[in-house]
Amino acid sequence: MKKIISSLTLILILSLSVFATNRIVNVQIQGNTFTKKFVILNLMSYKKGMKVNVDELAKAQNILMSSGLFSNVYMNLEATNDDYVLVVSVEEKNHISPIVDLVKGVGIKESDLFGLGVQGEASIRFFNLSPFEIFAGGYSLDLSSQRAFGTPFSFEIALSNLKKMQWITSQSKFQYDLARKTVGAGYVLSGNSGFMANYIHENVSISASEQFAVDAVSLDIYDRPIQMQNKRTYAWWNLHLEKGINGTKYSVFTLDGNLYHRMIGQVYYQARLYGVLNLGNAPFTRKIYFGDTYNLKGYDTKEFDLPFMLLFETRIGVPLTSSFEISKSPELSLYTPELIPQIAFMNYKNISLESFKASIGLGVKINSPFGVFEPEIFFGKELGFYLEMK
Amino acid sequence: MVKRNSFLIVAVLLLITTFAFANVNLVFWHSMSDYQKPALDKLVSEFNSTHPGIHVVAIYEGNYDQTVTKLKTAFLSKNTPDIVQLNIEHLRIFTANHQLLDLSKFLSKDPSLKSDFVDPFWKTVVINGKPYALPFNISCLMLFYNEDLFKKAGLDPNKAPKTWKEMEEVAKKLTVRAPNGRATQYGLFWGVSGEDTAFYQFEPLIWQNGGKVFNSSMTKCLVDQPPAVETLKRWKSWFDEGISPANMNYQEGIQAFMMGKIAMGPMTSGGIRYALDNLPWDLGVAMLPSHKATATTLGGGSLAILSNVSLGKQKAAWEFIKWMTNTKNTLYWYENTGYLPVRKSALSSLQIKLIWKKFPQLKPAVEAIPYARPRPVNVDIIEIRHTLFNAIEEVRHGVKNPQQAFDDAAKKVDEILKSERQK
Amino acid sequence: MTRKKNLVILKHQKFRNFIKGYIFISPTALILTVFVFFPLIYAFVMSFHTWNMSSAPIYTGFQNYVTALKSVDFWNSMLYTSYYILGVLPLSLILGLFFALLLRDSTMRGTSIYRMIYFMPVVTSPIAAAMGFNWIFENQMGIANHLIEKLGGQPVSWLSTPTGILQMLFNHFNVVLPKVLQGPSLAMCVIISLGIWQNIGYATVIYLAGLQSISDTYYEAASLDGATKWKKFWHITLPLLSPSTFFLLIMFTIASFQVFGPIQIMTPAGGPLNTTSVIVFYLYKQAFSYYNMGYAMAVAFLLMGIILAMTIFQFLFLERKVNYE
Repeated sequence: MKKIISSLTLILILSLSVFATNRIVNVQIQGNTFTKKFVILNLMSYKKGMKVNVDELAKAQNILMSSGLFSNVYMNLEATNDDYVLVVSVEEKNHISPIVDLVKGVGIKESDLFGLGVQGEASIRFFNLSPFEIFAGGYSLDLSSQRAFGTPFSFEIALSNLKKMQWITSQSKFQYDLARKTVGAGYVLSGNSGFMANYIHENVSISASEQFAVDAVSLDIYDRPIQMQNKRTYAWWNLHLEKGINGTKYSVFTLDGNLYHRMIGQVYYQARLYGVLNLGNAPFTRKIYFGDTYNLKGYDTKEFDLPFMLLFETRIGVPLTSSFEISKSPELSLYTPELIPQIAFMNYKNISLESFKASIGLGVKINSPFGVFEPEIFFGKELGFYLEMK
Repeated sequence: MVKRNSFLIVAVLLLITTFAFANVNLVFWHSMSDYQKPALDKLVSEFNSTHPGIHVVAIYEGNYDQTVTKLKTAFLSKNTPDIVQLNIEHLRIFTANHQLLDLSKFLSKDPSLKSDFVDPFWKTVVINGKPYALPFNISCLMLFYNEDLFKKAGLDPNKAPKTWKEMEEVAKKLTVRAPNGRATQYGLFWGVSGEDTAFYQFEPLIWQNGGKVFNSSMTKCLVDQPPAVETLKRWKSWFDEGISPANMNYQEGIQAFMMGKIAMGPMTSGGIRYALDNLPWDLGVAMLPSHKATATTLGGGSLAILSNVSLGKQKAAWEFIKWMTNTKNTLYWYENTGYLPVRKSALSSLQIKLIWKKFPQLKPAVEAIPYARPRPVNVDIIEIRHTLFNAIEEVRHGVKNPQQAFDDAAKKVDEILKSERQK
Repeated sequence: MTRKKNLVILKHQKFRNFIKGYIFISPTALILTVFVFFPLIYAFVMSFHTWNMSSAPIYTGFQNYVTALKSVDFWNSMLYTSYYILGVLPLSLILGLFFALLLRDSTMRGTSIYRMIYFMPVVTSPIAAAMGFNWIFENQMGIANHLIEKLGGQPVSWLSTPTGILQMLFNHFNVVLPKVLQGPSLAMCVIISLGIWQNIGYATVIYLAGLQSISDTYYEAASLDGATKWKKFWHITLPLLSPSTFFLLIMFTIASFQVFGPIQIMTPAGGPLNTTSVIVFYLYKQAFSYYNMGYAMAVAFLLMGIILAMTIFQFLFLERKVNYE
């Protein structure tokens, strides 16, 4: 017994002392049938001759895992003379998935375009849900990456031409065509926090006679934990600032804060605080309004030009397995029924009971091999059905 | 023309050979349910995709005890699987009748393999000098504690009790009573399972007190000796003093622990990841507290090949169990379940340090390996353990005193041991 | 000549009919032989052997039977079985009769719905029912304890208290009863209540059928003689229901001897101090946990003997008291 103890401690001491001084002279990547080697090296921020540092390598592993490209990353050190070769074995995830979206339509998403770690999206818009109609027209293309080619630089190029978009307010109801170009660049500071700046140009035509253009710049600052598997509670947030240029004069500030808390088993509670501050008179396509699919649901609240609004959304989800038992691990969770109460406050000219809106939703998250589908139905002033894909 | 013909002939030959040699189908019985199953299934499907000639089908056959029953029945109906996951304590039930394949012939071709398995784990699969399985999911008993309750009681959540005395003191502080004297929260529950792996949690207590359950030749049960009886008295005192719930069975104890009504208890390291994924509070994991000695029990399963498997399948099956226990996969298994890595190369690897960064609770289990002892085993071990479990239950419920209960149990066990030798 | 010929034809026909009969019963006979008689005989032979399912069986004569009859555990499990029977039988019959009397009036609104509801537990699988009862009586998450705690009481360890319920009463007087008189443990009581819950519906249906076959003339005659309701019940209904009671008694006795599923689900380790380890559970453990196959088969044949003896006893002594109309 003593022999085992001493030999084990010896191994531990040896390995620790060895790691303290030696360097990684080379990296071998295994298991990447699709993703290019340099992308992985960039993601790891490998520098030739870097010291073996467990913290640094753990960070590199986390970034590889959170890139969404791999389902498993295994790291191993092999000794060569006095130095080390780092062997990284990755298991690639499925990188092609479908898009089903009420605005963009139906399309396809490639999250690892040509193995470069860049995400490409293409979709065709051909239907409106309410009232239901099918028409020809509209496409959107998007090329983006949070970590382009594995570097901390982010970029986005998006081009869309969306026909028969709907605008409904209490005063008016019309359809319009929207052509939008977006160019953006950003930088990931550390882990999963960073910032991104965008330039947006829009051409809007409501009818042959009524046409105008919008120019705006925006800045996003975000923070999201990179390794959350071992945490019971974590938060993430996004701050969005937007300003009109070239004659369009307005500013919008949006804060989107989220909190996740695992209660017991896989049952979770999620809270979201979403606030918008509108300054100046923004063109209607740039108004960040409730009624957007991702915000207050069950209410059609496009009819305003509000200076301030706030939404508080909570979710309680009970993940179930394929045999509808309460799931015991994230891998076993297939269906997650969710109960989603929402409360919103909207600052009209004078505060009254009308300023508060509430709705309650029922949703189900479905983990499919193509991604997460999330149909939801909301009971508010109107009944609304929403479908999201993550 | 000739070229084309020869090409066609080669192609046909290739096709034939692939059909003839490529598809080895292996049936693998295992006992990994719930949260462990996805991890196991992932390993098996990865094996199938990286080994084109072999196809393994993994089938869940109930817990370890149930697998023994099913395998025994399968032998009678001649419908056996090729590979089976057996509890290390149940290997003898099958080696006694030569139903498991002696792996020596494969190991002699792979001399470095044997020495890479962690020594105490390797010992559990060697019977009469011959290895009959590869250790796969080995766990040891650890002290799980509720860090939130520690903080509430003003205790340092990073300092788990190191000795029995400390544990009793801490447990007293962690026991909360309502004004009417009724405990609403208990400090400790050293629950002992009575079903699968019965008596598992009690054995290390006897070892820690310097005692043994059996003599070294497994002919006599030693629980009637002072070390074991003293242990039982001490264990009983935890219930008498009110730091442990008196009328709760093992399953109920686990539930109460999960609900945050019990602060500490012994659990297997194979459940660490499950606990981290499911508990509604922060989990602390530490070595079992020591008394006269430091000790913990090894438990868990191994992968064995059945001896009636054809030669061609034997090779494929060996390939599979070797692959399942290789350094990379044993670490994957460790990270996703909490079962210990079975390879020395894994214990000193970079990946294990990366895993500890993510799940620090997994580290103490590896540090406990030098103190972990395999449980003594025998063909009739299930009946013996149930007898011992019944004895401590009689003491817990106040039907017998410790000396009397263990005297009676030792007598019964000696009889079972004797009749087993006569068979 | 013709007569003789006829006789031959007749014989031939008889033979053919004879063969036909056997051909008709052969599928059933074959299935019974393969799945019932052969295992039965095999088990009987094995009960004279020591066999652990892996090694070859060793002949040991009557040793298994002797060991069983000498074993404390065997007699304990017989005691727990009799607790179960004594607990389940009377209450199932009384409550079954009670509900049958309530549901007798078919002009009452919703009778068929009530009948269906009372019959529901019978068609519920014992396993599902046991899981449901587990939900109620679990220590930590059970509904029963939740309610007790809400009402300010102390939670009860329903399934892990080994003390007999009669002993619990006598605990207040500091009297320790002999083991046989201590009564079933609380865990056993929960299982008994599950047994009663499942039996009531069956008894109700049988009693309802029995009640319908009692002619109204008896009651009319009794009314003319000025009999009270109670007297009618005692002197007419009860005696004329005795065939149903006798049938139920035999059915429930045999079924209660063989109770296993709920125990395996609710107390998989055999209950606190094995107090729910009834004879079939004991047998199952010996066979499929300890692999004492020969011993388990000996216990099975002892059980068969006991059930047979009980049934014969019931037929000999109780059937005399049965009134057939």
